[in-house]
Amino acid sequence: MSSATAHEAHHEEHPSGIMRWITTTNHKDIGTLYLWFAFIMLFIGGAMALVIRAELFQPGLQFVDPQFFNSMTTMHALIMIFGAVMPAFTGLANWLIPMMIGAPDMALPRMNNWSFWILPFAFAILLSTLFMEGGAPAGGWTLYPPLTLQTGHALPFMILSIHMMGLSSIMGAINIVATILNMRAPGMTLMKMPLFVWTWLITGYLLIAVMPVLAGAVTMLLTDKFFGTSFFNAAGGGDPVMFQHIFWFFGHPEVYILILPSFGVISSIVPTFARKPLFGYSSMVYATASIAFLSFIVWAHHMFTVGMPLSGELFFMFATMLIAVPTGVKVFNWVATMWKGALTFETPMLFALGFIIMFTIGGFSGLMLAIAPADFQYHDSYFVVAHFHYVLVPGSVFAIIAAVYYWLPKWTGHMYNERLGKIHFWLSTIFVNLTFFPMHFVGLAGMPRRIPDYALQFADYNALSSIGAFGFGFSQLLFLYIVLQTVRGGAKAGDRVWEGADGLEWTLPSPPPYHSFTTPPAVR
Amino acid sequence: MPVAVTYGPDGDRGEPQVQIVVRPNQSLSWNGNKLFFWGITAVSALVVGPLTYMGFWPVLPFAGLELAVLGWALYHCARRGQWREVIVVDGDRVEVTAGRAEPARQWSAHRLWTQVVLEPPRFRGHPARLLLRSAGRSVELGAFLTDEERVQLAGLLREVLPTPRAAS
Repeated sequence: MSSATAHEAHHEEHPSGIMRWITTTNHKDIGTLYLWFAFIMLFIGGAMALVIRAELFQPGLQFVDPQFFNSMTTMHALIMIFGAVMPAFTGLANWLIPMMIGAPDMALPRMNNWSFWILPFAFAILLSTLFMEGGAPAGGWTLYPPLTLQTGHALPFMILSIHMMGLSSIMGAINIVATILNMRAPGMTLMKMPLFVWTWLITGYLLIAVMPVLAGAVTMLLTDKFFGTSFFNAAGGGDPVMFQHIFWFFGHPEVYILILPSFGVISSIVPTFARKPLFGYSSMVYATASIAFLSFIVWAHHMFTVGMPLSGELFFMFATMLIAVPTGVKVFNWVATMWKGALTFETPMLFALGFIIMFTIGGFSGLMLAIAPADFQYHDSYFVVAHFHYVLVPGSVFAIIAAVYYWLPKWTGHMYNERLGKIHFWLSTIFVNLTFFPMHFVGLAGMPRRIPDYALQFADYNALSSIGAFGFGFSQLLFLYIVLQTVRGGAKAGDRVWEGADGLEWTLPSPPPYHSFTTPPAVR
Repeated sequence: MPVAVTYGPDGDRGEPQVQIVVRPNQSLSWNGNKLFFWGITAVSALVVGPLTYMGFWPVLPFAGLELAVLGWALYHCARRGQWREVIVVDGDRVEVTAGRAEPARQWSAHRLWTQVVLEPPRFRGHPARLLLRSAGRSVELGAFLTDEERVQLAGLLREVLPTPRAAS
């Protein structure tokens, strides 16, 4: 016989102050940490974008030398991808998935804490390379050898930080997958899960499948540079083009890792403000899975110009075009959900609509890039920059902003300022288009990417892009103000914040209790 | 509610033996977890195998390490889902046995001297605690249950442990 009151005693631990945030294993605390970290990184990466746009405001070299300019493009991409968008979605997953599936917390809370706290150190190491001899990495986020091997002292630090980011992503993904599979409330079958949970399950699967490929690739760069191997060194019998294959085998699924959770967010918001159930739930799930599958077999469309056999180019061209089918299913379903709905246009819905329209523009320019013979013209031009920024900024970033406006009243218990939210939307939408739409034209006219100077004929459109970029950047300060204002107070939000909202998270109080589900969820 | 109640044959005093089994919620079976794990391992093998064959072997240890962590995570979740708390009320005795394949802890007391205590949470939003207490000793039950399930279990225990000292 033994007395055993200590079982699960961690429920009683509740440190306060800074130790709460350092030691927390609570999914809401960790979600909050991820979201604030992503917000900070958005501003750091955004400041780098403004350095780039300031330099490109007019032809000639104005503010920075070409080496530093290239460092800015490289660091901007690494920070925005691994520091802003991915942690923001992991933060949303941490906050929302346990509430959406009726679980008290994540499956592996301690690992959850660790996977977040790796990130600040990873990015401190990456940002420290700005002050190193030889400067920060400047070979582009794609890290192509031999160019990237010319990086100075920063190379091993960058690779270490990428390993740490990958470790964090992997642990986050494993935790999310284990939670979704094992901790759903009774009755919450897979095909009853909210789309956001489905998209994250598939995103987690993608992360688990491709992250080791990135880890292996950067490790081979490291050994080529410091240990005399020749994986990618042509002089030693290696193949530099193979790095591109390996990198993009990771890189293309990574693109979907950045966008699939956005689809989940939009699939939550549109039905709420259309006051109708999501049209074609099952087809949305299958379309997400199809996109994930196709993401594994299209990588070489990023490298049509390396000199592939014609059969290879044809395969990758048609496989890439095939992605338009499940993506089109999604866009159709969102539009069909709105069709004859009782639509209202609160800020989350405005950002969701902005997402649908502008992501589709990015999708169409992606189709243009998929056409191999056309890609020979567009490759490495500003048209590509316009394409992926349309997918990632009014795509992923707008979805994250929409999600924050949608769930912020639930998280804080306060309503945000709707008028300011709408002003934020219109400023963001106008400036994001002013920034990136002209890039299509300069790209088609032949302006190459990753250069600090350009020919005179591109001047007007570049000036417009730079004005748009500064406008978009400073508009996000309004977003920061709105979030801080909402966290500090405001009108009380009800449990079901939005009239048309459906899902287990809306059955919880606003803000929800420290441990979710003090009452068992009823899954219909 | 993840609680099963069975009534056994009458005991010495003509009252039926009551057995309550409490288990955590587990939405995927061990076989389901294994299927997921081997599925993703197959996909990883399709990726890593050709790369290793072509000489780019540094991908292999990272994939192996990652799959090992995934396997551990799924095993850990499934193992946690196998925890059982069995409460047997037989005549004058109350016995609590908890564990997985074999008892990890046991507790027993006299039925008439056993209290069912539902402690409110010390911090707002934290879960309540359900305890069986007797002669200064106590055992926590259903720490993995939701609060509503814990209240239901407390009610069930009070039905089968009708002691005059039962506290709320």
